[in-house]
Amino acid sequence: MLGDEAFRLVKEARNITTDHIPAYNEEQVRLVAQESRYLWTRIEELIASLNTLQSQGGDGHEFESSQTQDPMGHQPMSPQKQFGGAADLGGYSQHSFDSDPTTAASRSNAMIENTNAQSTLFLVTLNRNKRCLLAYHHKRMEFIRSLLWALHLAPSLVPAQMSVKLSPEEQNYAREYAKLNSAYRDAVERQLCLNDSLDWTANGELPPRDLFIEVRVVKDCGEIVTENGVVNLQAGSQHYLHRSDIEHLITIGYLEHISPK
Amino acid sequence: MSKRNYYDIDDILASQERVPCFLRTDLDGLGSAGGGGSSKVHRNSRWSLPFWMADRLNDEDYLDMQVSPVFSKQSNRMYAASPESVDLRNICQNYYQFGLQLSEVAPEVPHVLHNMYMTRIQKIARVAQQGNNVETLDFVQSLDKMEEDILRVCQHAQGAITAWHQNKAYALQKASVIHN
Repeated sequence: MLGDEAFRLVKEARNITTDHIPAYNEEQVRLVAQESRYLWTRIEELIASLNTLQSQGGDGHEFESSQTQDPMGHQPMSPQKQFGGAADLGGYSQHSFDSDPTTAASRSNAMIENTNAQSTLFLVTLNRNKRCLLAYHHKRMEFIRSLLWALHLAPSLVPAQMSVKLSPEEQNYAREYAKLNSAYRDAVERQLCLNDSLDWTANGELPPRDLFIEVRVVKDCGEIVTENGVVNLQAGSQHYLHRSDIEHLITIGYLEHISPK
Repeated sequence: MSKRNYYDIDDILASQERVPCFLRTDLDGLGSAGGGGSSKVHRNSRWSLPFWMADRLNDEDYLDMQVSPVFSKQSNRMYAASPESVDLRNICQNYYQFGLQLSEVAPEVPHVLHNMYMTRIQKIARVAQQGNNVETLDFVQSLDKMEEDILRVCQHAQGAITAWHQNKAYALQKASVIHN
């Protein structure tokens, strides 16, 4: 059935949760793109055959196609990105054409209607494929962004078993996104607080209750420099430290927060 | 009805539900999956097509779309008798989403959805508070995808209250994507 391949892709996107993503399905994406290209050539063929039908019926009777409405107009939201050549499809359907009303009128009318119906079917499927492809990639993009925010916008912290699931383009996107973000942060810092560094990746969902927190070291992280001097974080030791100094170490699992009882 | 989001995965999944159609024109190539097969599909035959396809072709009068049996008058009456014991997952996994999409064609559907939802949401909230036990198992397995999400949110909120009581709500956690 038309559109089934694209549907499989969307079903896969449904399985994305906050901490799990299936591997990028390049094969399936290629299949959908291939089907879409095939449909596009078929539409062009159908329009060409309509044009020949039109030139055969020659007495200038205007036959307004029922398909003059722009199919793109039915889209619930116009897409921000354009995929392939699908964007300029709208213009193709706005053909009105002549047909011969007297000789073999019913036959050629039926043929025209069939061709119209078929090209509409292909066009609808093409739009559907496009929507599925965009939604699949959009969902993955959203996942990558939330992943980066959870990891303090550092693409290097993305665990290896996660980054193998991403395509090279997606990994590149992650790097560029983090770069853009840090450039923006620097600009804001220059404007607002020249002498202070701004950590806007701090966990905003968990409002700070105490400035200092008690932590236990799970993995050796060497020495870190804080306002109050150098602290040596050895595995097994326990410290009472400024939350903002070590929050990122908790995120990547090197320290453990011991909450007050 | 709120504007449908172009990128909404659930919306796309729901519009894949089939509806019965009566073709007025030949629709060749319907069954081919881009492979170039030339299957003949003739007019005046009945097919069940995905809603996204049927709806648009219906707009152009190439076929007559009928309301899905899931929302037929008969089944609406049947479900209304006892909304809590309807096995939605079996009937249609995207019952509410699909119903909302159909509401443009079948104006009575929103009322049906409303009654169904208002009754079942109470039981969902109850189940979330009780935790899983054998009696609620059947009901949990009859939820459609949207209700499942709601149940998960309810259970999460329930757990959050307990965590707050035990003073655990302020602990910083490592990111959930890192397992080691």
